[in-house]
Amino acid sequence: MEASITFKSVAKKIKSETLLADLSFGVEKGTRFALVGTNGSGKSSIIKMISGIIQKDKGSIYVKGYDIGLKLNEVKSIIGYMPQNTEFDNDLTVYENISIYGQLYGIDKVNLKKRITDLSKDLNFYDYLNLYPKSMSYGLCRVVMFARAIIHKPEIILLDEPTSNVDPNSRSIIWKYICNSLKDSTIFYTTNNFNDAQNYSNRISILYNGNIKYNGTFENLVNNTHGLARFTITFKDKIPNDFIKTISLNPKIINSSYSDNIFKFYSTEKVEYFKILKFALDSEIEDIDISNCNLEDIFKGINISEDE
Amino acid sequence: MNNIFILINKELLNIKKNIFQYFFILFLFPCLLYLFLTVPLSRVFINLKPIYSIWVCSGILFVSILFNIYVLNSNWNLKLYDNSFIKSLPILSSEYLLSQTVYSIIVGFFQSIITVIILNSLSIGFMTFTQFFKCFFIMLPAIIIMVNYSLIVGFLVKNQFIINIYNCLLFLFLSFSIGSFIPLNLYPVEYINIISYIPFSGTLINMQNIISYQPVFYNMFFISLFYSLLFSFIGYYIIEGKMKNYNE
Repeated sequence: MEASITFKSVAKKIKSETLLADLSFGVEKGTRFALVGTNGSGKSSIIKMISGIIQKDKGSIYVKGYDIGLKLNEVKSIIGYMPQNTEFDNDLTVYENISIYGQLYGIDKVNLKKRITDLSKDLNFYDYLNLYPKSMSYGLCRVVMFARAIIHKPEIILLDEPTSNVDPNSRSIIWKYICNSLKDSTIFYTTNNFNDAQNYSNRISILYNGNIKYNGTFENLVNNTHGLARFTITFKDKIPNDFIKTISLNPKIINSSYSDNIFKFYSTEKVEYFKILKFALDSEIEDIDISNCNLEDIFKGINISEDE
Repeated sequence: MNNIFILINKELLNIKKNIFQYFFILFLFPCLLYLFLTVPLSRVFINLKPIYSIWVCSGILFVSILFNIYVLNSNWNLKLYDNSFIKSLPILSSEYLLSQTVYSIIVGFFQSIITVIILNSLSIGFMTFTQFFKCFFIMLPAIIIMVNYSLIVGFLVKNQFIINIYNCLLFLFLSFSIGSFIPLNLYPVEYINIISYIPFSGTLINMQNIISYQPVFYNMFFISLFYSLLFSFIGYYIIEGKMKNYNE
């Protein structure tokens, strides 16, 4: 498969603090690549480095074979970038906002008009084309920003938290369009919404401490956790103190948490769960639950195990 | 080249959307300068040749064009260079600088037309067409310097409150320190020696000479031109730094 984006030993410091250290990974053409990580882990910085907005300190970044350090303008013309913050020219209408930037990407006015009309119909904002961004809801602004990022049909689309704080309706409009109409483009997006990453990407990377901890499909990620599962025991009354003390000393239990009468923990070994369950049966139990890990669980698991 | 026209068009579209507000500013500024500075000062400088109200017209033209260009460019800088989406566009720093310069010349031209119309209707036949175009041509390096000066201030000062104070200081500087409203010969000789190194004062002297039918000092014009190139060079590197966020 042809690589769309390649990071080779990239490092980035912000104010003498290392944000990214020796980061290397690749994104294949046509992939929907989700980058998840904690706030401040460097997700947005990676997207900004790919789009040439900020500079790397070390290493090389290649976009469609172009070295960003040498062919920045060529790279900029094949990418579409949607920033995390809402950035519009508030004195211009939605149509004018998209049109101006379409022209800057070299689309002629006739084609541009058709493209804006088509996009606005597909993304459900045709009726708002003559409105000013100030008078629109946040969700609608994000949809328009998405349209602006893809106006020139870029080969590589970089979306910085495209659906954060967006209402479910706008979110589904954006994802539906990405999955149905942008099949040939490479989509690289950052998100804190684990459901989005799990459902709409065919590759997920988890960024932790300035480096990629996991990289692959969701199924691979689950396999890599060696059967990590989430266990829940609901007691009828308050959880006994000696139960909490004993469990917290068990090295095979990951990320245990409790509130009033519900006790949750992660483990890769079901035998351990049955041992705990046997111990818990000394008290009265209301409910038990075992479920497979979702992306959020894996992410929490990584954070906890790395911190420990 | 196409990008330059699109960027200029974008800003002109912004002006078109707020045409009354912009027109009001462009109209009001020279009017107030005339009313609050020229009229009272014309009663002080009664011995000036030609009469003060004609001599000072170049000062009104100079201050109103340069100050408005500075303010409009500060707004441009704020909107364009702190916007991460704009930074992702395939536009060269030289295209940004050129579009900003051409936009300022266009706005400056409109401001000068409005100012000349106002002044012609207030004083008695102050400027011919030839004088107007000569004055505007002589002012071009000063306009370019002002565009880049706004970039430098935007780069060095991030606090909006301090920028507002800088705006006031710039107005005072343009109005009272280089001979726009008060003849330079009234200042101490040492001060005149220092101020003569600033390209604005040379431009203003040339404009006053054009209005008074006296010869233009081309050496002053070329010095201003040299400064404008120097400032453009600095401006280019400031835009390049902002576009690539070298400091982030």
